[in-house]
Amino acid sequence: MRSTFYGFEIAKMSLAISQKAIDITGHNIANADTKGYTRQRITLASKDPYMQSRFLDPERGIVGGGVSIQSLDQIRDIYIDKQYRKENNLMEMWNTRSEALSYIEQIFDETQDSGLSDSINTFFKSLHDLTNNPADKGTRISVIQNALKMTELFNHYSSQLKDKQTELDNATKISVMRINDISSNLVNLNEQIKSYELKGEKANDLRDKRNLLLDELSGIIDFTYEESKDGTVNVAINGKNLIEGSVRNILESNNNITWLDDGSNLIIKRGSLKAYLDMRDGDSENNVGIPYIINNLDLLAESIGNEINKVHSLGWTLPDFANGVPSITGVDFFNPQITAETFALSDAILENSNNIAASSENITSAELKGNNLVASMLTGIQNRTDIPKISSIDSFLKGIVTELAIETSHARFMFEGQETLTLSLSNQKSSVSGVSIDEEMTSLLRFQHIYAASARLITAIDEYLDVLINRTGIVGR
Amino acid sequence: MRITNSMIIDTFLNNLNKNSNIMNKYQAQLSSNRRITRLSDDPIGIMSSLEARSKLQRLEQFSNNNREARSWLDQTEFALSEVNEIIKIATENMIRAENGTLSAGDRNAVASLIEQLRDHVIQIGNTVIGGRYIFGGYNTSETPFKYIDGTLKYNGLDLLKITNDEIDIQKSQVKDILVGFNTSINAALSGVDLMGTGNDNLFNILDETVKALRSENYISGNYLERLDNKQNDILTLLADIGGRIKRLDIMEDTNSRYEVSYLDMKSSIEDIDQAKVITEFKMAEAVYRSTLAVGAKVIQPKLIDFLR
Repeated sequence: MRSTFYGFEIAKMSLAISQKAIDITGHNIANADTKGYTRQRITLASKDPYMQSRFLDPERGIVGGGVSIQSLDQIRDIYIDKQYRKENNLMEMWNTRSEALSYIEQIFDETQDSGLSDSINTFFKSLHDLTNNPADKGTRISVIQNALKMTELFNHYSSQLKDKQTELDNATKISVMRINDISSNLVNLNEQIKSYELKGEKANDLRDKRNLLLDELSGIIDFTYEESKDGTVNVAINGKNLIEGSVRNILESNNNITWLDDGSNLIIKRGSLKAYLDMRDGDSENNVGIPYIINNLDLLAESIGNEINKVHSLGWTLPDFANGVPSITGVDFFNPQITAETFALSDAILENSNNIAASSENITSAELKGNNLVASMLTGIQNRTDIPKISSIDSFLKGIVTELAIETSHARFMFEGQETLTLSLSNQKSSVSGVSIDEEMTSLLRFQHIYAASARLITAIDEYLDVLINRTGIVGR
Repeated sequence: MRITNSMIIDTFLNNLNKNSNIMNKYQAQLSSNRRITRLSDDPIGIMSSLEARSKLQRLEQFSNNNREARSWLDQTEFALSEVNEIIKIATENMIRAENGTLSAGDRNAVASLIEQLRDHVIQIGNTVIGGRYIFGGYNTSETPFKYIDGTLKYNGLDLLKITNDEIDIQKSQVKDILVGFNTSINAALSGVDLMGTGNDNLFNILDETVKALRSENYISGNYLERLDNKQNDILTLLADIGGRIKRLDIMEDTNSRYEVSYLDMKSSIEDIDQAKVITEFKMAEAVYRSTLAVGAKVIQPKLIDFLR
């Protein structure tokens, strides 16, 4: 026999559940633009009928008990997540590298008339002028001026590169701090999610937060991750655990990046941190970074300086008979300790333009002042193709600039390709997990109707109970 | 595939950004009038461009050098012509004197003339360009030809007693000027070549002629023969200098042609074709506008607009 108030239960559950469904729709709509939000969907199931005993109530047409909530899920594709993080990792790496190289290529602006090749050419031009007029003070001073411009430009480039290197070093340290921050947050979220899900429910919003952090981490460093049965996520970087449940390992950055617990080096293969490290430390043709470029610049300065000094010290300076200063030989034009940063004229030259040695012989009398043989040899250095290590000044500088141009354009090209790939994966993620306002509006309408109908149901039940209670069996009252 | 609002907006923004980047690139090219605004725009082109620039700077230097060499050689040529004239005049007058029909007074007059010519030769030997003596070898600042105590000294050396070694040293003091990629020209003539050395240096010939003409008893000598030989020497020098000047002309021509071809090379890489870039810019602008227009239409309407 049917229980009298059975209908109420069904209607009551229906009201509550359609209200809850509207709440969830509201939550989705409110978070339609929230970064990292995954849309949530309620899964309903019909309730089985309440039966005391199959034998005592052999009635036909037994009705179910209404609706119940089976689960509240977020719609997310973990496979797409994995792919996205992998491609994002590469994209951030190429992006970082491309930006750093673009900055450096701005420093080496050889397409304008103020670059390194220009200053070297002008210096040699003034040596030609010296060859034509070796005893003239104005010509000598112009040689010094142009030499100064050249050395100062080397100094400038070198210091700008070193500044950028310091900046990259800072960026590295900040990235490591960020990794540590993220791992600390992840551990907290792991614990929270685990305890929440003990109840058997899904901690949807907490999971969203955790996924956002994993997305950010994927840009910085390459890692693998796994979700365990208790809902916590373990993250490992090239074999060593960053996070295991509620335990995390901290990274330290000094010259190398090491793990705090055992001092071993962090192995990193991709990601923006790798790009920072490569740019900061790269010192070979296969690993082009700032040290490689500075080394080349140093080599160029050294070659120019040494070759000029070798020839110049064979020459004889201009004497000053009036003040008893004789012609001397063995004078260095540039300071002998040469790097791009320290490239400078020697004190002798800076002191007196007479100390430029243009002559091949001791100038013992005024009649020999026109000797320009050493000046002529100096100009010849620009055309030599047998300079040790660099073969020729022109071709070496061209090589430096072209290599830089090719590296930069390659990095940009790789970045653009990765960007497109990552964007398409991001779109796929949106397609699966994104909120569609239109969809939510239709859900809203649906559950609104269900609510209204359920309310009517209660009115109907109320009416027949009213008939039963107040108007049955009152004959003759 | 399920499409959400955020997907539509994201796609729209991405494409807008791409289009903006393209427009920005053309705008930068147009306003700077350069096709290459960064090295990485065209790495291979940069290589050629740097090569062209460096060669052009060398060519400019060669052009400067050519001018310098030219001015010295032109002046040398002029000096040699003058000396040639002097010899001619001396010769003409000596022919009259050798005829034996001149009186002592006439001979004195010829002697005075030749004396003037003799001193003028020294002046020519001390020609100056831009404050430098051109016939002094390495001596560009002190007077090369000086008449001291009755003897003519060149760079302090007695031309009558100069040794072969000293002559070689003086002749080695050349002025080699680089006027082409592999070409240098000696722009100087040594004073020992100009004047000659030993007894037959031009000054001595003229000096002895003067002394002979002024002496009580005029004895005919081989002055005419000596003057004739000297003239041959001068003419030979003139041919040499003329040849050098011709080479300078040729080098200038060659270098001009190089310059044109390198300027071409540089321009083809670095300069923009204004018309082409403006057209492309217009196209990019049109694409940009249509992106905006379509985007506006797509991102606005929602279902909720249509529900009552």
